[in-house]
Amino acid sequence: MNRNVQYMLLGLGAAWLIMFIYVVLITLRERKLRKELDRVRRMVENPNK
Amino acid sequence: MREKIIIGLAVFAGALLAWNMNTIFTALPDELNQGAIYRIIYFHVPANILGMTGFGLGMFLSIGYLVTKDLRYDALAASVTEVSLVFASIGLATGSIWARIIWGVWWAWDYRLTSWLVCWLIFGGYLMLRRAVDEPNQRARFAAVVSILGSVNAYISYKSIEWWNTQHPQPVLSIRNGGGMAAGMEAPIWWNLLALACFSAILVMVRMRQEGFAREIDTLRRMAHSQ
Amino acid sequence: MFLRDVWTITAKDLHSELRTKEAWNASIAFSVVILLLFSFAFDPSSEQIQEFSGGLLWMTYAFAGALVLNRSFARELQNDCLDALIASPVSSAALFVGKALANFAMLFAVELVSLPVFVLFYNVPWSAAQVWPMLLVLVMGTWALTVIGTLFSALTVNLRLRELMLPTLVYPMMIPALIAAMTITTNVLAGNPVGFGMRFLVAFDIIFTLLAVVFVDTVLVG
Repeated sequence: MNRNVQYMLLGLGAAWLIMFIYVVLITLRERKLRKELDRVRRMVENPNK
Repeated sequence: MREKIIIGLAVFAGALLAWNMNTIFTALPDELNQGAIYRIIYFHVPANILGMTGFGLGMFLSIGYLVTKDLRYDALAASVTEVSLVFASIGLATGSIWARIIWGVWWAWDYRLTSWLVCWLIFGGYLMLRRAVDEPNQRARFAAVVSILGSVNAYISYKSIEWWNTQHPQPVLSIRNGGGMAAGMEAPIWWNLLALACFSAILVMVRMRQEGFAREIDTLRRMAHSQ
Repeated sequence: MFLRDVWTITAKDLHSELRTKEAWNASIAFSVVILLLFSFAFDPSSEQIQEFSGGLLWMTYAFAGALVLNRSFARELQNDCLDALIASPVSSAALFVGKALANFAMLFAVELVSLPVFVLFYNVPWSAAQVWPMLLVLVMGTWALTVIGTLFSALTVNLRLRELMLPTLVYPMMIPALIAAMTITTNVLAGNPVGFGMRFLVAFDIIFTLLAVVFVDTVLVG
Protein backbone atom coordinates (compact mmCIF):
# COMPACT_ATOMS: atom_id res chain seq x y z
CA MET A 1 0.00 0.00 0.00
CA ASN A 2 1.13 3.52 -0.71
CA ARG A 3 3.03 4.83 2.31
CA ASN A 4 1.04 8.03 2.08
CA VAL A 5 -2.26 6.19 2.40
CA GLN A 6 -0.82 4.06 5.21
CA TYR A 7 0.02 7.10 7.26
CA MET A 8 -3.31 8.72 6.53
CA LEU A 9 -5.07 5.68 7.95
CA LEU A 10 -2.64 5.72 10.89
CA GLY A 11 -3.52 9.35 11.53
CA LEU A 12 -7.26 8.82 11.39
CA GLY A 13 -6.84 5.69 13.48
CA ALA A 14 -4.87 7.61 16.10
CA ALA A 15 -7.60 10.25 16.33
CA TRP A 16 -10.31 7.64 16.86
CA LEU A 17 -8.17 5.64 19.26
CA ILE A 18 -7.61 8.66 21.53
CA MET A 19 -11.32 9.39 21.45
CA PHE A 20 -12.10 5.77 22.22
CA ILE A 21 -9.68 5.67 25.16
CA TYR A 22 -11.26 8.79 26.59
CA VAL A 23 -14.78 7.38 26.28
CA VAL A 24 -13.61 4.22 28.06
CA LEU A 25 -12.05 6.29 30.85
CA ILE A 26 -15.23 8.33 31.22
CA THR A 27 -17.34 5.20 31.38
CA LEU A 28 -15.11 3.66 34.04
CA ARG A 29 -15.28 6.86 36.08
CA GLU A 30 -19.07 6.91 35.75
CA ARG A 31 -19.28 3.38 37.08
CA LYS A 32 -16.98 4.18 39.97
CA LEU A 33 -18.95 7.30 40.86
CA ARG A 34 -22.31 5.53 40.74
CA LYS A 35 -21.01 2.77 43.00
CA GLU A 36 -19.65 5.30 45.45
CA LEU A 37 -22.90 7.28 45.34
CA ASP A 38 -24.95 4.19 46.17
CA ARG A 39 -22.60 3.31 48.99
CA VAL A 40 -22.80 6.76 50.53
CA ARG A 41 -26.58 6.91 50.07
CA ARG A 42 -26.89 3.66 51.96
CA MET A 43 -24.57 4.95 54.63
CA VAL A 44 -26.78 8.00 55.16
CA GLU A 45 -29.98 5.99 55.27
CA ASN A 46 -28.62 3.55 57.82
CA PRO A 47 -26.72 5.63 60.33
CA ASN A 48 -26.66 2.84 62.85
CA LYS A 49 -24.47 0.61 60.72
CA MET B 1 -34.52 14.64 28.95
CA ARG B 2 -30.79 14.92 28.97
CA GLU B 3 -30.50 11.32 27.80
CA LYS B 4 -32.68 12.17 24.80
CA ILE B 5 -30.54 15.16 23.91
CA ILE B 6 -27.40 13.08 24.13
CA ILE B 7 -28.78 10.31 21.97
CA GLY B 8 -30.17 12.81 19.48
CA LEU B 9 -26.85 14.61 19.19
CA ALA B 10 -24.98 11.34 18.87
CA VAL B 11 -27.16 10.16 16.02
CA PHE B 12 -26.95 13.52 14.25
CA ALA B 13 -23.18 13.77 14.68
CA GLY B 14 -22.67 10.16 13.65
CA ALA B 15 -24.71 10.60 10.49
CA LEU B 16 -22.98 13.87 9.63
CA LEU B 17 -19.59 12.29 10.17
CA ALA B 18 -20.44 9.30 8.01
CA TRP B 19 -21.72 11.52 5.19
CA ASN B 20 -18.66 13.75 5.46
CA MET B 21 -16.24 10.83 5.45
CA ASN B 22 -17.93 9.64 2.30
CA THR B 23 -17.34 13.02 0.68
CA ILE B 24 -13.75 13.11 1.84
CA PHE B 25 -12.85 9.68 0.59
CA THR B 26 -14.84 9.37 -2.59
CA ALA B 27 -15.69 12.79 -3.95
CA LEU B 28 -12.47 14.68 -3.31
CA PRO B 29 -9.31 14.08 -5.29
CA ASP B 30 -5.88 13.68 -3.71
CA GLU B 31 -4.09 16.92 -3.12
CA LEU B 32 -1.55 17.92 -5.76
CA ASN B 33 1.58 18.12 -3.65
CA GLN B 34 0.70 16.07 -0.61
CA GLY B 35 -1.16 13.06 -1.91
CA ALA B 36 -3.58 11.17 0.28
CA ILE B 37 -2.12 12.28 3.60
CA TYR B 38 -3.73 15.71 3.36
CA ARG B 39 -7.04 14.22 4.45
CA ILE B 40 -5.74 14.24 7.99
CA ILE B 41 -6.49 17.96 7.94
CA TYR B 42 -10.17 17.05 8.24
CA PHE B 43 -9.53 15.84 11.78
CA HIS B 44 -6.45 17.81 12.69
CA VAL B 45 -7.91 21.28 12.16
CA PRO B 46 -11.35 20.70 13.72
CA ALA B 47 -9.78 18.98 16.74
CA ASN B 48 -7.40 21.86 17.32
CA ILE B 49 -10.11 24.46 16.76
CA LEU B 50 -12.24 22.71 19.37
CA GLY B 51 -9.28 22.42 21.73
CA MET B 52 -8.34 26.06 21.48
CA THR B 53 -11.90 27.32 21.66
CA GLY B 54 -12.50 25.07 24.62
CA PHE B 55 -9.52 26.40 26.52
CA GLY B 56 -10.74 29.93 25.82
CA LEU B 57 -14.27 29.02 26.91
CA GLY B 58 -12.80 27.50 30.06
CA MET B 59 -11.15 30.82 30.78
CA PHE B 60 -14.48 32.67 30.58
CA LEU B 61 -16.18 30.07 32.74
CA SER B 62 -13.38 30.36 35.27
CA ILE B 63 -13.86 34.11 35.39
CA GLY B 64 -17.57 33.39 35.82
CA TYR B 65 -16.80 31.27 38.84
CA LEU B 66 -14.51 33.87 40.38
CA VAL B 67 -17.19 36.53 39.96
CA THR B 68 -20.24 34.54 41.06
CA LYS B 69 -18.64 31.88 43.30
CA ASP B 70 -21.15 29.43 41.82
CA LEU B 71 -19.53 25.99 41.69
CA ARG B 72 -21.48 25.03 38.60
CA TYR B 73 -19.28 27.39 36.57
CA ASP B 74 -16.28 25.55 37.94
CA ALA B 75 -17.79 22.16 37.07
CA LEU B 76 -18.50 23.33 33.53
CA ALA B 77 -15.03 24.84 33.20
CA ALA B 78 -13.44 21.56 34.30
CA SER B 79 -15.58 19.51 31.92
CA VAL B 80 -14.92 21.78 28.96
CA THR B 81 -11.18 21.91 29.68
CA GLU B 82 -10.91 18.16 30.02
CA VAL B 83 -12.70 17.50 26.73
CA SER B 84 -10.60 20.21 25.06
CA LEU B 85 -7.47 18.51 26.31
CA VAL B 86 -8.58 15.31 24.58
CA PHE B 87 -9.11 17.18 21.33
CA ALA B 88 -5.76 18.91 21.72
CA SER B 89 -4.20 15.45 22.09
CA ILE B 90 -5.90 14.35 18.89
CA GLY B 91 -4.61 17.49 17.20
CA LEU B 92 -1.06 16.89 18.33
CA ALA B 93 -1.12 13.22 17.32
CA THR B 94 -2.65 13.79 13.88
CA GLY B 95 -0.33 16.72 13.22
CA SER B 96 2.68 14.64 14.15
CA ILE B 97 1.69 11.80 11.81
CA TRP B 98 1.08 14.25 8.97
CA ALA B 99 4.45 15.88 9.65
CA ARG B 100 6.24 12.53 9.42
CA ILE B 101 5.27 12.32 5.75
CA ILE B 102 5.36 15.94 4.72
CA TRP B 103 8.31 17.26 6.72
CA GLY B 104 10.06 13.95 7.28
CA VAL B 105 10.10 14.40 11.06
CA TRP B 106 7.66 13.45 13.81
CA TRP B 107 8.09 16.77 15.56
CA ALA B 108 9.53 20.23 14.97
CA TRP B 109 10.24 22.89 17.52
CA ASP B 110 8.57 25.78 15.74
CA TYR B 111 6.46 28.25 17.68
CA ARG B 112 3.05 26.85 16.78
CA LEU B 113 3.85 23.29 17.81
CA THR B 114 5.83 24.29 20.88
CA SER B 115 3.21 26.71 22.17
CA TRP B 116 0.43 24.19 21.59
CA LEU B 117 2.39 21.50 23.44
CA VAL B 118 2.91 23.99 26.26
CA CYS B 119 -0.86 24.55 26.35
CA TRP B 120 -1.36 20.82 26.54
CA LEU B 121 1.07 20.62 29.46
CA ILE B 122 -0.51 23.54 31.28
CA PHE B 123 -4.03 22.21 31.04
CA GLY B 124 -2.82 18.72 31.87
CA GLY B 125 -1.41 20.36 34.98
CA TYR B 126 -4.82 21.97 35.50
CA LEU B 127 -6.41 18.52 35.71
CA MET B 128 -3.63 17.27 38.00
CA LEU B 129 -4.13 20.26 40.26
CA ARG B 130 -7.84 19.53 40.52
CA ARG B 131 -6.98 16.04 41.72
CA ALA B 132 -4.59 17.41 44.33
CA VAL B 133 -7.09 19.69 46.09
CA ASP B 134 -9.96 18.19 48.08
CA GLU B 135 -11.89 21.22 49.23
CA PRO B 136 -14.30 22.20 46.39
CA ASN B 137 -14.08 25.98 46.76
CA GLN B 138 -10.32 26.01 47.03
CA ARG B 139 -10.06 23.65 44.08
CA ALA B 140 -12.31 25.90 42.01
CA ARG B 141 -10.30 29.00 42.90
CA PHE B 142 -6.91 27.46 42.07
CA ALA B 143 -8.19 25.85 38.90
CA ALA B 144 -9.68 29.16 37.77
CA VAL B 145 -6.37 30.98 38.18
CA VAL B 146 -4.45 28.29 36.26
CA SER B 147 -7.09 28.28 33.52
CA ILE B 148 -6.89 32.04 33.06
CA LEU B 149 -3.11 32.10 32.94
CA GLY B 150 -3.06 29.09 30.65
CA SER B 151 -5.39 30.81 28.21
CA VAL B 152 -2.72 33.44 27.61
CA ASN B 153 -0.66 30.60 26.17
CA ALA B 154 -3.59 29.40 24.08
CA TYR B 155 -3.78 32.88 22.59
CA ILE B 156 -0.03 32.88 21.94
CA SER B 157 -0.45 29.56 20.15
CA TYR B 158 -3.30 30.91 18.03
CA LYS B 159 -1.30 33.94 16.96
CA SER B 160 2.00 32.11 16.61
CA ILE B 161 1.68 31.45 12.90
CA GLU B 162 1.18 35.17 12.33
CA TRP B 163 3.87 36.47 14.66
CA TRP B 164 6.69 34.13 13.65
CA ASN B 165 7.92 32.32 10.57
CA THR B 166 6.76 28.88 11.53
CA GLN B 167 7.25 25.56 9.87
CA HIS B 168 3.58 25.00 10.53
CA PRO B 169 1.49 26.09 7.53
CA GLN B 170 0.18 29.61 7.39
CA PRO B 171 -3.57 30.23 7.74
CA VAL B 172 -5.48 28.78 4.80
CA LEU B 173 -9.03 28.82 6.07
CA SER B 174 -11.28 31.40 4.52
CA ILE B 175 -12.07 33.03 7.84
CA ARG B 176 -8.45 33.94 8.47
CA ASN B 177 -6.89 34.42 5.12
CA GLY B 178 -9.56 34.86 2.48
CA GLY B 179 -9.19 31.26 1.37
CA GLY B 180 -6.14 29.34 0.28
CA MET B 181 -7.71 25.98 -0.35
CA ALA B 182 -9.10 24.58 -3.57
CA ALA B 183 -12.84 24.71 -4.17
CA GLY B 184 -14.76 22.05 -2.28
CA MET B 185 -11.83 21.12 -0.06
CA GLU B 186 -12.57 23.52 2.72
CA ALA B 187 -16.22 22.75 3.37
CA PRO B 188 -15.65 19.24 4.81
CA ILE B 189 -13.44 20.83 7.49
CA TRP B 190 -16.42 22.82 8.72
CA TRP B 191 -18.80 19.85 8.56
CA ASN B 192 -16.35 17.76 10.54
CA LEU B 193 -16.01 20.59 12.99
CA LEU B 194 -19.77 20.58 13.49
CA ALA B 195 -19.83 16.81 14.01
CA LEU B 196 -16.92 16.87 16.44
CA ALA B 197 -18.45 19.83 18.25
CA CYS B 198 -21.58 17.74 18.78
CA PHE B 199 -19.43 14.94 20.15
CA SER B 200 -17.67 17.34 22.48
CA ALA B 201 -21.02 18.69 23.67
CA ILE B 202 -22.08 15.13 24.49
CA LEU B 203 -18.84 14.48 26.37
CA VAL B 204 -19.18 17.73 28.31
CA MET B 205 -22.73 16.84 29.29
CA VAL B 206 -21.66 13.42 30.49
CA ARG B 207 -18.79 14.96 32.43
CA MET B 208 -21.12 17.54 33.98
CA ARG B 209 -23.39 14.78 35.15
CA GLN B 210 -20.39 13.10 36.75
CA GLU B 211 -19.46 16.35 38.45
CA GLY B 212 -23.00 16.42 39.81
CA PHE B 213 -22.53 12.91 41.18
CA ALA B 214 -19.25 13.90 42.79
CA ARG B 215 -20.90 16.90 44.44
CA GLU B 216 -23.75 14.74 45.72
CA ILE B 217 -21.30 12.18 47.10
CA ASP B 218 -19.46 14.97 48.85
CA THR B 219 -22.62 16.38 50.41
CA LEU B 220 -23.91 13.00 51.52
CA ARG B 221 -20.55 12.09 52.99
CA ARG B 222 -20.55 15.21 55.04
CA MET B 223 -24.10 14.49 56.14
CA ALA B 224 -23.17 10.93 57.11
CA HIS B 225 -20.22 12.08 59.16
CA SER B 226 -22.21 14.69 61.01
CA GLN B 227 -24.86 12.18 62.08
CA MET C 1 1.70 52.99 52.03
CA PHE C 2 1.71 50.22 49.47
CA LEU C 3 5.38 50.79 48.68
CA ARG C 4 6.28 50.77 52.34
CA ASP C 5 4.52 47.44 52.81
CA VAL C 6 6.28 46.05 49.77
CA TRP C 7 9.63 47.20 51.07
CA THR C 8 8.97 45.72 54.50
CA ILE C 9 8.17 42.32 53.03
CA THR C 10 11.13 42.41 50.66
CA ALA C 11 13.52 43.40 53.45
CA LYS C 12 12.10 40.71 55.74
CA ASP C 13 12.55 37.97 53.17
CA LEU C 14 16.05 39.08 52.24
CA HIS C 15 17.11 39.37 55.88
CA SER C 16 15.74 35.95 56.64
CA GLU C 17 17.56 34.47 53.68
CA LEU C 18 20.84 36.23 54.37
CA ARG C 19 20.82 34.92 57.91
CA THR C 20 20.79 31.26 56.92
CA LYS C 21 21.88 31.47 53.27
CA GLU C 22 20.28 28.06 52.73
CA ALA C 23 18.58 28.75 49.41
CA TRP C 24 21.46 30.92 48.27
CA ASN C 25 24.10 28.25 48.82
CA ALA C 26 21.94 25.51 47.39
CA SER C 27 21.12 27.58 44.31
CA ILE C 28 24.69 28.57 43.55
CA ALA C 29 25.97 25.06 44.09
CA PHE C 30 23.18 23.63 41.95
CA SER C 31 23.76 26.03 39.08
CA VAL C 32 27.50 25.32 39.03
CA VAL C 33 26.82 21.59 39.08
CA ILE C 34 24.34 21.86 36.21
CA LEU C 35 26.80 23.88 34.14
CA LEU C 36 29.41 21.26 34.89
CA LEU C 37 27.14 18.37 33.93
CA PHE C 38 26.09 20.04 30.71
CA SER C 39 29.75 20.57 29.84
CA PHE C 40 30.15 16.79 29.87
CA ALA C 41 27.05 16.35 27.77
CA PHE C 42 28.26 18.73 25.09
CA ASP C 43 31.80 19.47 24.03
CA PRO C 44 32.36 23.00 25.37
CA SER C 45 35.20 23.77 23.02
CA SER C 46 33.23 23.21 19.83
CA GLU C 47 32.01 26.03 17.60
CA GLN C 48 28.44 24.82 17.95
CA ILE C 49 28.28 25.83 21.59
CA GLN C 50 27.41 29.32 20.40
CA GLU C 51 24.14 28.03 19.02
CA PHE C 52 22.77 26.82 22.29
CA SER C 53 24.68 28.97 24.75
CA GLY C 54 21.54 30.92 25.55
CA GLY C 55 19.58 27.72 26.05
CA LEU C 56 22.14 26.26 28.46
CA LEU C 57 22.28 29.39 30.52
CA TRP C 58 18.55 29.75 30.97
CA MET C 59 18.05 26.06 31.70
CA THR C 60 20.52 26.46 34.52
CA TYR C 61 18.72 29.55 35.79
CA ALA C 62 15.31 27.92 35.58
CA PHE C 63 16.38 24.90 37.62
CA ALA C 64 18.38 26.84 40.18
CA GLY C 65 15.58 29.37 40.39
CA ALA C 66 13.07 26.68 41.30
CA LEU C 67 14.99 26.11 44.53
CA VAL C 68 14.63 29.74 45.48
CA LEU C 69 11.02 30.11 44.35
CA ASN C 70 9.79 26.97 46.05
CA ARG C 71 10.84 28.29 49.42
CA SER C 72 9.25 31.65 48.87
CA PHE C 73 5.91 30.95 50.50
CA ALA C 74 6.87 27.62 51.98
CA ARG C 75 9.12 29.33 54.51
CA GLU C 76 6.05 31.04 55.99
CA LEU C 77 4.31 27.81 56.86
CA GLN C 78 6.10 27.33 60.17
CA ASN C 79 4.47 28.92 63.20
CA ASP C 80 1.48 29.98 61.07
CA CYS C 81 3.43 32.92 59.69
CA LEU C 82 1.48 32.73 56.44
CA ASP C 83 -1.85 33.10 58.22
CA ALA C 84 -0.45 36.02 60.18
CA LEU C 85 0.73 37.70 56.98
CA ILE C 86 -2.61 37.22 55.28
CA ALA C 87 -4.49 38.52 58.31
CA SER C 88 -2.22 41.54 58.62
CA PRO C 89 -3.09 44.95 57.10
CA VAL C 90 -0.60 44.26 54.30
CA SER C 91 -2.59 43.72 51.11
CA SER C 92 -2.08 40.48 49.19
CA ALA C 93 -0.78 42.45 46.25
CA ALA C 94 1.87 44.12 48.43
CA LEU C 95 2.77 40.75 49.91
CA PHE C 96 3.15 39.30 46.44
CA VAL C 97 5.19 42.18 45.04
CA GLY C 98 7.39 42.21 48.13
CA LYS C 99 8.12 38.50 47.88
CA ALA C 100 8.57 38.72 44.12
CA LEU C 101 11.15 41.50 44.52
CA ALA C 102 13.01 39.52 47.17
CA ASN C 103 12.99 36.42 44.96
CA PHE C 104 14.10 38.49 42.02
CA ALA C 105 17.03 39.89 43.98
CA MET C 106 18.13 36.44 45.09
CA LEU C 107 17.69 34.91 41.67
CA PHE C 108 19.50 37.78 39.96
CA ALA C 109 22.38 37.46 42.40
CA VAL C 110 22.64 33.72 41.69
CA GLU C 111 22.64 34.44 37.97
CA LEU C 112 25.34 37.09 38.23
CA VAL C 113 27.53 34.64 40.11
CA SER C 114 26.98 31.74 37.71
CA LEU C 115 27.38 33.87 34.57
CA PRO C 116 31.21 34.12 34.87
CA VAL C 117 31.32 30.38 35.58
CA PHE C 118 29.38 29.82 32.37
CA VAL C 119 31.69 32.12 30.39
CA LEU C 120 34.67 30.27 31.84
CA PHE C 121 33.50 26.69 31.31
CA TYR C 122 32.19 27.25 27.82
CA ASN C 123 34.81 29.65 26.47
CA VAL C 124 32.15 32.11 25.50
CA PRO C 125 33.64 35.01 23.55
CA TRP C 126 32.90 38.16 25.42
CA SER C 127 32.96 41.86 24.58
CA ALA C 128 32.06 45.04 26.47
CA ALA C 129 29.29 45.90 24.02
CA GLN C 130 27.35 42.84 25.15
CA VAL C 131 27.15 43.80 28.80
CA TRP C 132 24.09 46.05 28.70
CA PRO C 133 21.94 43.88 26.41
CA MET C 134 22.94 40.89 28.53
CA LEU C 135 21.90 42.61 31.73
CA LEU C 136 18.65 43.69 30.12
CA VAL C 137 17.69 40.18 29.06
CA LEU C 138 18.73 38.86 32.48
CA VAL C 139 16.47 41.36 34.21
CA MET C 140 13.48 40.78 31.92
CA GLY C 141 13.83 37.04 31.83
CA THR C 142 14.41 36.69 35.55
CA TRP C 143 11.39 38.84 36.30
CA ALA C 144 9.21 36.53 34.18
CA LEU C 145 10.48 33.48 36.06
CA THR C 146 10.06 35.24 39.39
CA VAL C 147 6.52 36.43 38.80
CA ILE C 148 5.25 33.05 37.71
CA GLY C 149 7.24 31.17 40.33
CA THR C 150 6.10 33.39 43.19
CA LEU C 151 2.44 33.20 42.19
CA PHE C 152 2.50 29.44 41.94
CA SER C 153 4.49 29.19 45.14
CA ALA C 154 1.56 30.94 46.79
CA LEU C 155 -0.90 28.64 45.07
CA THR C 156 0.81 25.38 45.94
CA VAL C 157 1.95 26.28 49.44
CA ASN C 158 -0.85 24.45 51.19
CA LEU C 159 -1.12 21.48 48.86
CA ARG C 160 0.04 18.16 50.17
CA LEU C 161 1.88 17.45 46.90
CA ARG C 162 3.60 20.82 46.80
CA GLU C 163 7.02 19.54 45.66
CA LEU C 164 5.37 17.79 42.71
CA MET C 165 2.77 20.34 41.74
CA LEU C 166 5.01 23.42 41.73
CA PRO C 167 7.37 22.26 38.95
CA THR C 168 4.48 20.66 37.03
CA LEU C 169 2.57 23.92 36.93
CA VAL C 170 5.41 26.40 36.76
CA TYR C 171 7.71 25.06 34.03
CA PRO C 172 5.15 24.88 31.20
CA MET C 173 3.94 28.35 32.12
CA MET C 174 7.51 29.69 31.98
CA ILE C 175 8.40 28.13 28.64
CA PRO C 176 7.43 31.04 26.34
CA ALA C 177 9.50 33.45 28.43
CA LEU C 178 12.37 30.99 28.64
CA ILE C 179 12.41 30.48 24.89
CA ALA C 180 12.38 34.24 24.31
CA ALA C 181 15.19 34.76 26.84
CA MET C 182 17.20 31.92 25.33
CA THR C 183 16.98 33.23 21.77
CA ILE C 184 17.80 36.78 22.87
CA THR C 185 20.79 35.57 24.91
CA THR C 186 22.11 33.47 22.05
CA ASN C 187 21.79 36.47 19.75
CA VAL C 188 23.49 38.80 22.23
CA LEU C 189 26.39 36.41 22.79
CA ALA C 190 26.82 35.99 19.05
CA GLY C 191 26.66 39.70 18.46
CA ASN C 192 23.48 39.54 16.40
CA PRO C 193 20.56 41.96 16.67
CA VAL C 194 18.06 41.09 19.34
CA GLY C 195 14.88 40.82 17.30
CA PHE C 196 11.22 40.22 18.11
CA GLY C 197 12.06 38.28 21.27
CA MET C 198 12.60 41.36 23.42
CA ARG C 199 9.20 42.84 22.60
CA PHE C 200 7.61 39.49 23.33
CA LEU C 201 9.46 39.18 26.65
CA VAL C 202 8.47 42.67 27.73
CA ALA C 203 4.83 42.03 26.83
CA PHE C 204 4.94 38.68 28.63
CA ASP C 205 6.38 40.32 31.75
CA ILE C 206 3.75 43.05 31.79
CA ILE C 207 0.82 40.72 31.20
CA PHE C 208 1.86 38.13 33.75
CA THR C 209 2.76 40.71 36.38
CA LEU C 210 -0.71 42.23 36.01
CA LEU C 211 -2.40 38.84 36.12
CA ALA C 212 -0.37 37.76 39.13
CA VAL C 213 -1.11 40.92 41.11
CA VAL C 214 -4.82 40.62 40.29
CA PHE C 215 -5.08 36.95 41.21
CA VAL C 216 -2.77 36.61 44.19
CA ASP C 217 -5.59 37.63 46.48
CA THR C 218 -7.83 34.91 45.06
CA VAL C 219 -5.09 32.37 45.55
CA LEU C 220 -4.16 33.32 49.10
CA VAL C 221 -7.48 34.31 50.56
CA GLY C 222 -10.37 33.42 48.26
